[in-house]
Amino acid sequence: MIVNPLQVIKSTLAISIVIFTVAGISVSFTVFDRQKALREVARYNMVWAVSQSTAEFYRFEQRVAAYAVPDSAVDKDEAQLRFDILRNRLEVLRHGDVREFTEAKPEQRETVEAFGRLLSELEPLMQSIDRPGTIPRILAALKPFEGKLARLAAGANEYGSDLTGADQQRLLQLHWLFSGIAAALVVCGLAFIILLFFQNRLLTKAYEELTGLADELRAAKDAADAASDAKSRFLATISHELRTPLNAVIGFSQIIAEETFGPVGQAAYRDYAGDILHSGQHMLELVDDILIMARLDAGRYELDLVRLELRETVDRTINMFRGTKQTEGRSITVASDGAWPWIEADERAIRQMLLNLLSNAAKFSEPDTSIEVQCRFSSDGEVVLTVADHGIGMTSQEAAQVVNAFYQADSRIARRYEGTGLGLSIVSGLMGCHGGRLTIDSEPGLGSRISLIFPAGLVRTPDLIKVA
Amino acid sequence: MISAVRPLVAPLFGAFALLAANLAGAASLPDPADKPILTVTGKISVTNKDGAAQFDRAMLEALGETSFSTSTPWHDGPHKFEGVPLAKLLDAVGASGDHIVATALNDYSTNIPVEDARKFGVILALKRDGGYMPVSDKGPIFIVYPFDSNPELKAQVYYKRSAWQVARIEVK
Repeated sequence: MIVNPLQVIKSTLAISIVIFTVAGISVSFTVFDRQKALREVARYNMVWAVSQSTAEFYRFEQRVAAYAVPDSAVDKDEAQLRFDILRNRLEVLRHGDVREFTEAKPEQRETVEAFGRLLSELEPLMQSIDRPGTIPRILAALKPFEGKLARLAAGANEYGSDLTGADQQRLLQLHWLFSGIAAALVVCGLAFIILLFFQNRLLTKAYEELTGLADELRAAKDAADAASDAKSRFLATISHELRTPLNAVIGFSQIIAEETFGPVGQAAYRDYAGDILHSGQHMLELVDDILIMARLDAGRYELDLVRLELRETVDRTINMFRGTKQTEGRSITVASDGAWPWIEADERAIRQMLLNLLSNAAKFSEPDTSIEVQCRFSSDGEVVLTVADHGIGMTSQEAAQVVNAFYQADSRIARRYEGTGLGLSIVSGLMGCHGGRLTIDSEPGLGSRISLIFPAGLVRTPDLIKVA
Repeated sequence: MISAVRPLVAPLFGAFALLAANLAGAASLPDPADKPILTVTGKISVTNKDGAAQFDRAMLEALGETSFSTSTPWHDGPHKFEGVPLAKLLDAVGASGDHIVATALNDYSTNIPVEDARKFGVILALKRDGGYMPVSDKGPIFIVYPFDSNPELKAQVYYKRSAWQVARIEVK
């Protein structure tokens, strides 16, 4: 299964968004819900309410005792007021939030109940407080209770501390809960950023790939257009080149057939027949060139590789070339120094390439200048076979273009010097088939040095038997 | 019969007395006819005894009463509290301070910002569930906030301001 990274990122983003949203909503709900809980933490300070009972108890006891002293500032109303305050305290202990504490433990409940019984017992005594003997009775009833309220207050303090501890624990739990959710949100946020970063990178990469592809397509289209243009120009030129010798063949044949200059046997007719033969041969060369070029262009040219002695092949080819009309009065020298190796190559192809180069050299230079053929090894061990002339030469732009197939067919040079100009294209194609290449070193007015470079891998050991 | 009429007559009498006092001069209060239950001192402009304003129950009731039901931390379930709005009392004595100190019979005292009086409608409750509150049940005056109608009030800070058995108020 092929996993699309962009799809993975999209899915992960979607999941992250869902988690983020759920986390956000749950935080909101939790905060809302815990608001109530937090409020409840602020409970009534019942420790204070309980502890006050001790103070009020002692103050009542003290007022009752003071009342007994003759000429005391404490009157009956004051004593009754302190008693009422004490009764109010009993109500506080029995109701509301404080009751939670007083009912929490049996001993505390018992203290409050005893407190209630004490106050009920004291109530009729308070009504008759001015009767002799009442005050000692009240004080006697209060005496055993003195420590009990203090212990109740201590118990309340302990209970209150426990509650505060529990509240703190709850607050801490809330703190951890909120921290956890906040951390989850931060992680989600980071995941967002990272995922967006990766998505951005993938998109950039995809964009670059598309741009590259578009560039390649444009280049391919340009190349195809150029090839198409070149072929059109080539066809136009080649038709012209074929028509010229064909016209000669037809024209001279017609003169002979119609015996225009008298019956056949005249000397002139022999010349005409020679012209017809020359034109036919020229056409054959053209057609051969076109066939080779077509095969090279289609990548269907098959080499017949043999081990050959390069010097021997070169000498034989130069001899063939010397037999043509082009070489009349030309000096062609073969450098005797340097290395002339054995190589594995297609002998026919080498012959054709060399003939093309020699033909070009002869065509583009004056007859009184020499043509030189040299051979050497490059520093990389390649075999460099060079044909040099002292002709018109080429500019570097022209040199760069001449190897392009079909180029020469449209060049001004080709028009002026005739020929299809396919020569160098064929040479370049044949060298390509050998795994080698063609180089042109030329300057206008000084001549050209055109080299065939065979890769070092084609060099073979000499055939000793043959040498011997 | 007479005992049934008395609670009705007393406030009426107090109201007339207060009205008369206001007509006579803004800076004086009638003397309490009954035993005073609340003494107001401090930054006040209306007095009736040595720079203080003393009120008996009838005088307080004559200021105009209001009531609401609320639960408190000291009762089981909600109860109806009835009494004088603190704001009305402060107006009646021409209070100019920003807070009051309420002191109870057991000498408990608490600070109350004056703004609480109007913001929350604090009352000096005299009655609970229709009956006057005795000293043995947070009387005669119990400062009550309407805890149930505003959740903000269910907090320690307002619990401690709800003093019972209030006897004195000092405006500061």
